[in-house]
Amino acid sequence: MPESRAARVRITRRRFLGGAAATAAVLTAGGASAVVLRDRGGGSAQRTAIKPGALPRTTPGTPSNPLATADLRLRHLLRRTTFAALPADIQRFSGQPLDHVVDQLLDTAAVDDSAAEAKLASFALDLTKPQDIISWWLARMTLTRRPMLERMTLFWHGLLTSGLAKTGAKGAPLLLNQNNLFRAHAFDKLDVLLKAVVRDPAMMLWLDIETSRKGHPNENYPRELMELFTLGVGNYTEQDVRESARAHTGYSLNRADYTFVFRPALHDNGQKTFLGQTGNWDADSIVDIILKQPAAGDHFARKLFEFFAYPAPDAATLKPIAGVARSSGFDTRAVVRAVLTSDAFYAPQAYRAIVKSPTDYVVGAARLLGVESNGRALAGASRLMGQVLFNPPNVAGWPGGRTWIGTSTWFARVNFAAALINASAAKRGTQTQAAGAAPLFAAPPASADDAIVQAATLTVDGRISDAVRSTLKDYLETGGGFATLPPAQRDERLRGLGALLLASPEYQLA
Amino acid sequence: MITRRDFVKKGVALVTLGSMHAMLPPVFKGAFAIRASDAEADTLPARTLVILQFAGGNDGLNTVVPYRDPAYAKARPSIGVKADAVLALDDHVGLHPKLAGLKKLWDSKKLAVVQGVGYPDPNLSHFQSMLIWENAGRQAANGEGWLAGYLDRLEAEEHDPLHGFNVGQFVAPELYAANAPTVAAPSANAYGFQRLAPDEAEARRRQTALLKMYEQFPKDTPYAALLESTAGDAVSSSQAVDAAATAHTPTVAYPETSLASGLKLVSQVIASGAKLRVAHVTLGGFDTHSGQQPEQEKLLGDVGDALAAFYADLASYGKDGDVLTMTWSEFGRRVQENASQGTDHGTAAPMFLVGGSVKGGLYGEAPSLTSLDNGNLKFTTDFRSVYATLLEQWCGAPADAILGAHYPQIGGLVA
Repeated sequence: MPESRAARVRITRRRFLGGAAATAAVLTAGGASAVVLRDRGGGSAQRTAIKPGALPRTTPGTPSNPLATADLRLRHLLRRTTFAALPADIQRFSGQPLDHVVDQLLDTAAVDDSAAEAKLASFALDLTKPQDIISWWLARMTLTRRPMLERMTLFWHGLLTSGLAKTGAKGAPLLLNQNNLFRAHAFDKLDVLLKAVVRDPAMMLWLDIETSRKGHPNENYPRELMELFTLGVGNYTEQDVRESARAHTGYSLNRADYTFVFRPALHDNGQKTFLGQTGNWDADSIVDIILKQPAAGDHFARKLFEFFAYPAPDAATLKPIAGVARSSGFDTRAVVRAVLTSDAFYAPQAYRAIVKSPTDYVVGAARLLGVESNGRALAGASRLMGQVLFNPPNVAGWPGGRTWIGTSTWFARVNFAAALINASAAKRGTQTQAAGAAPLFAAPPASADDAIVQAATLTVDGRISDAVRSTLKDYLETGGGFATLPPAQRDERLRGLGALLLASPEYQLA
Repeated sequence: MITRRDFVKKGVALVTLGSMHAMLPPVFKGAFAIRASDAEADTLPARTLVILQFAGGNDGLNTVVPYRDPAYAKARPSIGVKADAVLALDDHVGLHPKLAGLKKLWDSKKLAVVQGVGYPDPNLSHFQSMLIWENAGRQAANGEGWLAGYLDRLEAEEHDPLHGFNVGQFVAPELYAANAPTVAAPSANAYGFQRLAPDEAEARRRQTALLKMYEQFPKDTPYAALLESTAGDAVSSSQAVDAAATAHTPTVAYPETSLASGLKLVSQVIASGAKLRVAHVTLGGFDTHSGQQPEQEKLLGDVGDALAAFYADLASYGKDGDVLTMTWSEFGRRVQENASQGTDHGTAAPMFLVGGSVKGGLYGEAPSLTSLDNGNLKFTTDFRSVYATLLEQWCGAPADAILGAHYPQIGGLVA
């Protein structure tokens, strides 16, 4: 969105501080609550079939445990697995036991996604270009009916990361292939992914696997394989890194077309002693030995738990999930299922415990507003927020969490929220009651209170403090009661309400 | 002493001091006054360190040229700088002719050149070597830059997001500090709220409501302090940067380059009286594997001209002695030119330190062009010795504690 100096409107610090005296009604997250996945109690509002016009609405005076109701637990699950809790999904899954919902979310192959594929193809993006593969993936995430598959692909892209900074622009098609590899094996066993990625040209360039030959083993990939991908520091020695590097020699690239080739003459066939075991190991046997280490189960459980649930879980929380990792042979689907059905996932401390990444933020907002983007605008916005897909800052992927929130990136989020609502409005014209923000309202809002309840329920689970509620009401009713505002002005206020909620602190958190 | 932490602990709204002081409610002014009269002694000095990054690996040998060394002429038959063209600094080395702006600073004793800067076991990957320079090679840096410890100390004294200012969209890795966020702005225009609504009054209504929502976000929830202080810092610093860009019109003509615009904005922020302590500007394009000569000439010309204008501007309002600029690049380049009239990734290179308080001259030992390591120069000064020198002698901060190890400092560099 171009902007001129004159277009910038400022608020003074004094005005900002002016409201500081207002005491906020503070919501407390806490209180004892056993999470019941199979809530068999009947008759509650959340298991009634819901019509679009009658979404369950959180009443003012929200319960103290943010995940106390089945409705809130479902919204929480959908936000973490599908980018945003869409009304259609809430309607579809409402009333079902959460473990059944999880099984359906994980069974992405059962969903026909041909409409999204066709739409994506219609954008005619040039998938040999860095800019276009970024746009392509963001558009795919926005359009797909298999959002959990994209969330998992994003997980693998963050863990087994590779990037354009090292490969250069020529790496774009290679990174796209790697992306498709992650998608194809998104729920597969960890050893399958690791044995594929060591032969993946983008990874081979990113971590110098292709340069490693007998007598000159490169330690880059062998080190990160243990440090970042599977075990974590402290669970291997420098000698293990050196021995693993010898096992990784000879995995090479045809420089003509950047395809994988194993060159036996460059492979070190000597005996290697790795993590206490001696043999003529190759890259695959290294993976097999690593995954027998006790630390591997803990590491895999932690990575998936932190991606979906919350940062820095304690050992007791991870223990059962690590157990599933080991007993299932590092089956990703089984471990993800264990995370998403764990008590910890629905514990109060899991609620709004993750800062949305720029990708999650732009894709989630676009999905909520039904914006069909070719991804270019989303890519531009995400870049300003600090994330360029296929271009992680370093070998450890994106640090995430608090680092997403900075002054410049905060403006980028706020400005994106406004631009998205305006873009949505431009597309929809002015026929609808709340052009632009229309998808946030199942029915034309009858009052300011009704508008706030509807839009806040959809964007932030309706969980806003009474003080915020009254701030939004004051905004909607400046210069006259909501009902007495001229329609054009009312529409603009409803767009403003949507933009405010998307820019709100509550919405920055998943 | 009332510190930022007291403010947070006591639940008082976070405030930005410094340039925003005049706008503060009396209660904060009082608190600040107590601190200021109380604690002059342990306050870090009011100086600015400007980091100028040459991204891509600048060819040090064609920047500070060993023009009398026959090995140089032999290694650089096509792209070498001719002896009669260099701007001689002494009988051995001279600046590239396009660095005339820097030569003027040298003549007025404001330019120090540290020769042969590098580190052990050099990494020839742009990316890995940049990382080493950015976090001073600390294994457990958790993504924090080498200046994080300094920014943390400034933050402990008082909160001001403009302690650090990054020209660009993002906080530079050197300045990244988890608990002391700094400002990143590509220009005064591109930093701040864009038009949130077609109508200005409506846009203002939305901003007011939005900032109120950040104040009202429950304080006991995760990320509450981060979100509220970021919103506050963003608004206050965007006003401060905008006001700075309007208030100071340099009497010096800056060249029309992106580097010069960046340095001009840094000067404007300094001129505004903001408590800017670290600024970061990047110039890219130094990865000259082929056809090096015209590319590097253009870049070095930009560097010399922009720095000359920057220091003339700073001098015009009496601040050139309070601002020190340090240049760095992830590595120098191979001694022997390649077959494409370019140079490949190398190792050691010189660093420039510029400023009115710098004691001009050559520091460190020029690396040998004949005793090489795989065709690359052997470094003579560890880059962390330069960092330690600047932290301790310029910033007044404890270098060993911040860098996590002891590096010998260069004596007498700062007047």
